[in-house]
Amino acid sequence: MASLLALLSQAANSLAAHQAVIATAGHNVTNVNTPGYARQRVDLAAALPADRVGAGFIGRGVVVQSITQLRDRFFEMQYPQAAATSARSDAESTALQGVHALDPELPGGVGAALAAFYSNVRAVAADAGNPGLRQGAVSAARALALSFNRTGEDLRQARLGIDVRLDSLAEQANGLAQQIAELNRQIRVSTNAMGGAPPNDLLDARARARDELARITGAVPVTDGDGNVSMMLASGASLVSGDHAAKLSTYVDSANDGHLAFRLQRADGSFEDRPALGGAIGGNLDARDGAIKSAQDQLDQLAWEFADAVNTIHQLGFDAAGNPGGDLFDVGATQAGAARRIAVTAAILADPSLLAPSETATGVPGNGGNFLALGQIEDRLLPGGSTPVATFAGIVSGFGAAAARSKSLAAHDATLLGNLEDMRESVSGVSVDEELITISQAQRAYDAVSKVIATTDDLLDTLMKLR
Amino acid sequence: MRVTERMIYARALTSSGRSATEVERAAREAASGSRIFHPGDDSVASGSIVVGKAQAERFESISQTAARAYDETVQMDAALGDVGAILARAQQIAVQASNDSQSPQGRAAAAKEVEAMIRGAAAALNVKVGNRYLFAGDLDATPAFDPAGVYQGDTGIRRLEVAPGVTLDVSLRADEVIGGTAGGVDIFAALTNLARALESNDVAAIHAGLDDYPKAIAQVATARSALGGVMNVLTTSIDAAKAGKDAADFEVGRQSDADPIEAASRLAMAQHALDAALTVAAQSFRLTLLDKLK
Repeated sequence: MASLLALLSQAANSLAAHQAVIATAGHNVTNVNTPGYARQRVDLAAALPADRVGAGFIGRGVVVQSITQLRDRFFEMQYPQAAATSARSDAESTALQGVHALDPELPGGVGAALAAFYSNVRAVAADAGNPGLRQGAVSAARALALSFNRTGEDLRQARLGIDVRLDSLAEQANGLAQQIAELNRQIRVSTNAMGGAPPNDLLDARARARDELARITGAVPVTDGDGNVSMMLASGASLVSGDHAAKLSTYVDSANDGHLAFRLQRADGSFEDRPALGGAIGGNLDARDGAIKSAQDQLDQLAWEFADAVNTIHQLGFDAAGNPGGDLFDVGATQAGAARRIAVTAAILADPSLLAPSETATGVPGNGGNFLALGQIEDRLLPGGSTPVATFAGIVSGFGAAAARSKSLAAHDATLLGNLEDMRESVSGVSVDEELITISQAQRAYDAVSKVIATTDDLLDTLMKLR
Repeated sequence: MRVTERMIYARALTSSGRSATEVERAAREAASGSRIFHPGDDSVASGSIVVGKAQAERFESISQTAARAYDETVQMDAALGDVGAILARAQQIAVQASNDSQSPQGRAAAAKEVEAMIRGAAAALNVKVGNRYLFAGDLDATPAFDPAGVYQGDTGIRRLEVAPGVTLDVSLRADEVIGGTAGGVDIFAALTNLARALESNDVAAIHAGLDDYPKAIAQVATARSALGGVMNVLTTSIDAAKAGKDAADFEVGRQSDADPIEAASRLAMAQHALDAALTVAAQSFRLTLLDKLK
């Protein structure tokens, strides 16, 4: 049979157990808004072994068996991948939505500048000797070149802006990878020190870092037998392996117009160029080297082919002095970057009489036949297979389709992630009401156990007064 | 499903944020009258807008160029009308002067009149619009005829785009119409011959030239008729270009403009949705055990 002193000891242990319940509920409540926090639960159990008394057993109170986190492994496993997918589409969509160089209503856009150029060419064709119209045509050609320059530069700046973002993301990823590696070590040490009891808050911190790293890089977590979380990229390369974190760095990729590429440097010093990165980095790369680059390349091709077509015809004509025409546009030696380079040749800019609208040297100044032919470029298919305006419209549509697709995909992925977050939160999140009930429940128990102590104390007192 | 604090607040944030975005979008459409602010808003329409605007600009430019050309052909026609009248008067003078009853003094006086008519015809044919002499061909910076009626232009013909991809000759070759180089009558030569014959009282020469005037008049009339055809085409072209521009503008508007009624309706709906989202959020926040426990 339990002694009164044993009863006191047992009640004291029970008080501690209920105090632990209140403390844990309090911890939950204070972390109600902490991202990535998983609520904890105190698992109480009757203390063993019970004392045998005659034909029965008298229990020995309550003990804290464990303090566990409530996490659903199914949701936990899905979350990093879903977060990475959503971050990727969101990053791509955000980057594309930020590019306004190809807005169809943009004043002074390439489409409008092309149309204005043709109009001015047509006007010169009708009155080739008119110096005012020649000046107008040169101005329109210059406006067109500037429109190409501005649009090409805006697209380039959009890509450069993404480079800056990528640099910052790489730094964040490195910090998180190191954090996970360090947490792996701490969790292992703590678990061993506590005889296998989980260090819940460290696990939370690691889960938070894991999700964030997945969101940034697309790496997925793999847990080994020691409880370490490694983060693996789609290519199989690991960003984190046990206690070791690899390092992501960027370098200037000359093959990609000087934009940044990634290098993964492993803990052993070996490295891998252009690792398969997903998440926000992947989304930004998708935007930079996908739709924006495609628009930039197509714009360069349009500027190149258009300038070539114009120059070819312009060279067939004769200027106001009856001399053969030269190039109207200077577009450089290569197609790459043509949109940013294209300009009206300096000589024509300085002297519009060098425009060559006449078909013959003797037809000067009134013959505008060559500019009539020049105006027909409006209907001529460029080597790319479309007229210049249709080509530009195709660039706008293509970019718009990519932006719309990524936006729709981002919304879809965000909905899926939101659902998964709800499911995960439903299991792991803190409900203040629940915790208040738990606290009240534990408080009641605490009060009751206090009564046991008071009663036992009275009994002891009674015993002490026996003579 | 277990509902937690974060879920309640996250849902409030998401739904009110989404509704606020809708309100902003609808307000922007209603205020600007446009529904496309980025190619991604409607990629197909965005491409169509670029093409439509270029088409509208092209039709506008064709219309303006054709209108200017039309004005010029009117001027040319008037000049040819003047030449036709001069030829009719010259024919009249020649017929009268070929009659033996006219005195040498009368013929000399008529010669003066014909010389004045030559200068008048040259002046009429040196009609100028802007800096261009309309009958001078490509050499339109200099007068088409000198005061004696010698042609100083060339054989150039002006051609314009009168519809997308369609061109039209909108000027005449004065060397043919006036100079008769295509087998017709050299009008100034005929007038000059008449003046000389009148001055020298050469009745036979006057008589010999009588056949030239009806041919010259017909030659000018034919040219005017051709010009009339050009004017008709230009009128049609101007009308068609205006219609084409209107159609292109309409199509651009159809693709890019927000329907004001729909935009206002969407704005109202979005505002209601935002109001509902905020109300629901506020209600959700109120229902907590914290308020019941004292």
